Amino acid sequence: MLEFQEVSYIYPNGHRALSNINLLIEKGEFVFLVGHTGAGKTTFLKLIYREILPTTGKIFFENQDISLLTPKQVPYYRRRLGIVFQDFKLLNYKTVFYNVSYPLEVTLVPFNETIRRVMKVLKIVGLLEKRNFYPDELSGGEQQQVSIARAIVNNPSILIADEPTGNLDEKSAYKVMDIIQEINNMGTTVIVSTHNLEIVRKLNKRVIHLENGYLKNDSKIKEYFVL
Amino acid sequence: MKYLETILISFTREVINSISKNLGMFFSALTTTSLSFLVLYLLLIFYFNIENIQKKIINQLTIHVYLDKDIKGEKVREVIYQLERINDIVSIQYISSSEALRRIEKELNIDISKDLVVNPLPNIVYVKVGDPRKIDDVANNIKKIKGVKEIDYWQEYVKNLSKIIDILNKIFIFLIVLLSFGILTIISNTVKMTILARRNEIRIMHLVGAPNWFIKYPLITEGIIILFLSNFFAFYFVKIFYNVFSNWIFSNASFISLIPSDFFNTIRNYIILISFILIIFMTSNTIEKYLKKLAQGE
Ligand SMILES: Nc1ncnc2c1ncn2[C@@H]1O[C@H](COP(=O)(O)OP(=O)(O)OP(=O)(O)O)[C@@H](O)[C@H]1O
Ligand SMILES: [Mg+2]
Repeated sequence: MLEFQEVSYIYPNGHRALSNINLLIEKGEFVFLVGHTGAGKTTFLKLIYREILPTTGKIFFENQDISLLTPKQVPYYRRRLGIVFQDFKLLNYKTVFYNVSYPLEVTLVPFNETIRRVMKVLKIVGLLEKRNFYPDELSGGEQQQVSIARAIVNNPSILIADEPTGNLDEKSAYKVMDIIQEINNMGTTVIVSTHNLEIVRKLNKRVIHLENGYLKNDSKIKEYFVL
Repeated sequence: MKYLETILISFTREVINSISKNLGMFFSALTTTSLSFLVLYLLLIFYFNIENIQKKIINQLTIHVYLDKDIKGEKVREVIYQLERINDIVSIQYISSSEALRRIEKELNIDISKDLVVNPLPNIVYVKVGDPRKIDDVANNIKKIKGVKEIDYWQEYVKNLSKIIDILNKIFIFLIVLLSFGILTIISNTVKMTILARRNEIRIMHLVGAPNWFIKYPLITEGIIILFLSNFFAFYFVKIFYNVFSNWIFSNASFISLIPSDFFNTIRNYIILISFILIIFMTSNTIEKYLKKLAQGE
């Protein structure tokens, strides 16, 4: 479903963030992306949702080279992804409800259907009561949950979560991981970047380990026992 | 229908939300555009009134051509025929001495023709000239015609006045063009600043899959709302002021006739139409450029 072929990325300021990444992620897989701060995890995910284009190499999503998408096609590509951003990226002038409903609005889902689906995901992340709050009236963890709700509301074929548990206490972190597992069980491919190695160990999924922009280890290829 | 409804609801909410959450920005844009339109309307009022006065003067621009006492009938027709061949004359009106007398009698309600042995009045032709700058040439040509005794027009006065008015007109056109460009720059800068201020929001919308038009139209609608509101304020402010001023002029200096304020409704409609099109074009262009950058991973 997702394939990296000799992908390198150098930021405009000359910083080399990723070097020669080769990997294949199958449909329905659950993948953890780990590595030190600055290892290149966010960069890796940005390449997937095409916020940036590889400096060299190619990325295929369902056999389509995503570098070749025209600007007009990009939004349509992104609708097939659900993205939880490390910095949430919520719209501050919209309430929780409308932040979550936005991805549905842009695909012109009828309004009562939108309400039904937004209510459902808000219930899943436990923010139903705060649906009329604005993002700046929420705690960091709650904002993260809104961001998760928004990512899953349009039933994406792949969920990309950049440190979705970064701002959560242990209990909420496990709750979020439960939600993500649930979504994965329903057939959605999941890529989660995290620093929380305890969760990684417990869940026992495929782990991709980046170090200084290199693919240091991929548990699918070699047994993952470092750490 | 369902789609349209969804879009309408969504856009309306988007616009209301984003205006109410960015009120400061909205009002500063509204103020700048209102003031610019206000000045534009004032200039237009001056321009059109001056043009109107000029037209009035031109219309009253008449050369009085006095004919020789002894020419009659066929010869008068000959003179008129020759007058008709002169360029830049817009109308010719012949009044014979007996006709002139009759008019005087009618006006004063008396009967003097039977007391007079000879009619003392000359035969007159009133000649109107279209362009005040040509009046000298026309006058010289008329003088050459046989049978013309003398001519009379307010030579220096007319020439100077129309010169002044011409200069004024040019100044106003220059100012109006300058200001129009100014307004365009202001509006396009406002659009750019709004987009800059919303950079993050636009980026987020784009990241969660909003197509360009979905991002664009609420922003354009905001621009159009600002356009209509600022135009409304500026126009009615100027109009009320103008009406009061016209009334004052009418009762205190009625020889100056101002254009009725309704005339400016048409002008306002043109201004709104033109800026409407320009705003759609400029806003859309600026956003598209920005979105294109985003989509290219810059
Ligand atoms: N916009 C940028 N311009 C230049 N360099 C950048 C930019 N963003 C990130 N980098 C650099 O690229 C490297 C990888 O960054 P990245 O954000 O992918 O790390 P990360 O693995 O997500 O780290 P963290 O765990 O802290 O989120 C870092 O060294 C960072 O300094
Ligand atoms: Mg990161």
